[in-house]
Amino acid sequence: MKFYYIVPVLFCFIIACEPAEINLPNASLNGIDGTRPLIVMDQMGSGFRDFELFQSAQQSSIAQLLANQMEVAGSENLQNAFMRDDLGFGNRRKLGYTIDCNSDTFLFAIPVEGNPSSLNNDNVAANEPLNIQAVPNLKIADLNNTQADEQNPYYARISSHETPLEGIRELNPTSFAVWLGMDDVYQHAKNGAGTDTELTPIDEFESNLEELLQKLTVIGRKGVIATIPDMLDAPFFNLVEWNALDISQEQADQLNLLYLIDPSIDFEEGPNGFVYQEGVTRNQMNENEKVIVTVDLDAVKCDMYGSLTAFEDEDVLSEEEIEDINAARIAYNNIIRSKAQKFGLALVDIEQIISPIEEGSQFFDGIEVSGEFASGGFYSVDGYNPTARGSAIITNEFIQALNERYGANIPLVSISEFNGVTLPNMIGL
Amino acid sequence: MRSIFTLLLFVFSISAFSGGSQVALQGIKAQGMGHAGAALAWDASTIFFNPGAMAFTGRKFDFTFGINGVEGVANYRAFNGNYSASTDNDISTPFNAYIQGTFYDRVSVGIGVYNPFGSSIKWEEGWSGRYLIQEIGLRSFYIQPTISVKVTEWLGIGAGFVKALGSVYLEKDIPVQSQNGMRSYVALEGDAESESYNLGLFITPTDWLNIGVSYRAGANFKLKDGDAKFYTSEFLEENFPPENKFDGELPLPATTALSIALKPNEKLTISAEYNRTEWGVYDTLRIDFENNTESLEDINDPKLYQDAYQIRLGINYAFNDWLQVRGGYVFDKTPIQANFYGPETPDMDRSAVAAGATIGIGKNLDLDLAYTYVRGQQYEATYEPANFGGTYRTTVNIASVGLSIHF
Repeated sequence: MKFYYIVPVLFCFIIACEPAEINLPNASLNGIDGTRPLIVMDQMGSGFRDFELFQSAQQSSIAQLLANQMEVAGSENLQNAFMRDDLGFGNRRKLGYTIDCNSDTFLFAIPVEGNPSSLNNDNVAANEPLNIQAVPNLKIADLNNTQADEQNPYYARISSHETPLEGIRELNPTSFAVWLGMDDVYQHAKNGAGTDTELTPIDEFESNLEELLQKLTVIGRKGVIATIPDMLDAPFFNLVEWNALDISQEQADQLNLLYLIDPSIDFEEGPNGFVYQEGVTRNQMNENEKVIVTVDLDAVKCDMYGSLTAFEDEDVLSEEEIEDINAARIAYNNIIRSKAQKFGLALVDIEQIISPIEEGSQFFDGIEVSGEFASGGFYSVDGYNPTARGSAIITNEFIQALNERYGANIPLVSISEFNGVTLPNMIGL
Repeated sequence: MRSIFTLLLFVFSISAFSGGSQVALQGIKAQGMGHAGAALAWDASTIFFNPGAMAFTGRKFDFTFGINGVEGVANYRAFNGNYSASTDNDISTPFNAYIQGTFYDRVSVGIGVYNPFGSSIKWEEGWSGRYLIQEIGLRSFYIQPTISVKVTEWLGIGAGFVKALGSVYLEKDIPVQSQNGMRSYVALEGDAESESYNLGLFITPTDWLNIGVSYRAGANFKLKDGDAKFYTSEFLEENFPPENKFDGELPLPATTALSIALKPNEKLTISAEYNRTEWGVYDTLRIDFENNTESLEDINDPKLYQDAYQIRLGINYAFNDWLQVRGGYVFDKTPIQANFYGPETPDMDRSAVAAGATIGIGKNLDLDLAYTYVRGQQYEATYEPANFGGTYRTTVNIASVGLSIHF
């Protein structure tokens, strides 16, 4: 009879009473040659964030996250040119409270204190091949520029050859992810369409990109490229509203007197468009125009900058300038799309990702993400470049494009591991 | 008896229920037979399984008590990702207790206490779904006075009134970071109650056949003035008032069991049951905060559960007067659709196998033992409103022990 006591025990042996594992296919690169992949990106992919390039941001940059995931799927380890600290060249800002010219406390992007390491300026290309070439302000226009290292201190850190294109060719990559062109449009836009950062001429954009892709796709090498999203809805161009000039009737009367010779400029009680200088003429802003976030807000608040004195051209994107920017972006994107087709590459249409985030909000991995400044989670403190969370979202688009085009199984990034903007602890000071 | 129930209440309040949405554990004997119990008239657990059968237990007095140790693990893997996580649940101990007395051989009255629904899920700290759920404890506690009448030698009917008590604890992270690195999260906690009833019909036309039909009505738990505590940086206090209140509603489904038990000979009993759960009532999770802000709207999460069923099969063999051995199998269809699948209930189609025994210790005392192993099928599912998905799989081990005192 004793025998029967062991029935329940036997039963457990037979069916293995232990947690069942989840079986999923293994990560793989499939046809993508992971011996020496190359990742080339500009400011948005580099980890430039909160107005600066710094180490922890580089570690959660689109370029680095993509490299990490490719590595999980079997590629070789890719080297990035990390800054030595989280201060970079010293321009980093954070969200915090500051006191303005009226002695009012307000929330603002305030400088992060500290002494950046002087080693951040060192060129690190000699140490080992940098297969992550993720460089703020690296334009397609600069690919054949022999002075890129003199003009761009971020590029100077990784410059190894005569031109950026030479450097890329020498790396002899076996596959690639290229996302360039953003800085060809938006360096110009972020400087208020100033003349020192012109839009790249369309034919130069086309020929440089062609040359780059010709080199990268030799012997049928595979890769992914991506389009340029419309960034003019980002907080960088919208945080200071075009009609934030809120004045009394009395102030309006005085200003109208001052602008008597400019009949197109008219002030009334309540919100008014700012006035800006364009060449010799002064114009009043309309709802299609944008104030650049870097405008001197203290001067706006206390010295009536933007009304008593006009904004400088560089503080504003006029309607005409916006048209030029959009036209250039569309032309570049047409080129990018046709090159993707011509070379048979995977293509990421970044606009399809960013536009819905800007228009409302989107859920990723259980997290609601919107284009709202600070609280939205997508844009960093600079109001233009993505946070770690935003970078993770875009990285997954690159991965999906590669997986779809080449049948690879590169694992996606877990978006909830990455944060949005860090908020201050306390209200006020 | 009153003091025993008070004690049990206390035990319950410090332990956690476990499993997925509904691990059926309301009687140790039936558990060993895959919970196919609505056509069995063995002990006072008929109060739960089929009140119509209580008058057929042949017992003047029966006190049946059982306690279960439930160890459940849910695993998660991100879609097309290398991220994985699992739960870190505490072992939970749901129990059941029934007492019955029979008068004039025809009328039985009794009272039962059991936990028909509940879940206790604690995902590993910092897991990727923490903005949907970090921890949840749903408990229900039914108290059911019941009467059963043997109308004829072959027909029994029964009915019970249910006072249902419930509690909920829910914790999830808020996706903001503050410069002091503090975790931002919300904890909701509250008690609820409701009423319900249980009806049963028991037919035994011959010695070798029992037919059982039982119906347990749903219960609409209403939760009032629960505590909603928000832990964020001071900077966000206007968005998330730290001490908030909430009201909520949780509909629990009605269940119907159709069951037959065959007794081909003196020693062998075979039981088969179809059990339907009207989960379709769980349409939306509603949480109504007392103070709403721009960042804090009321919660109206679609759940869109569907009616579900279980197939239960069991076999019992009586070796002699003091030893019975049994086994069972359950197929459990999930009520949760693959596109409205939240990690707070990592449920899926499951199969369970069970084994059990009853050992007689003297004439009036039985020791009941059972063990159940539940294995979920791999389920690829997404909670579309939050765009959170992955592959889930759950396994549960349940070891149970009970006593039955009878005359």
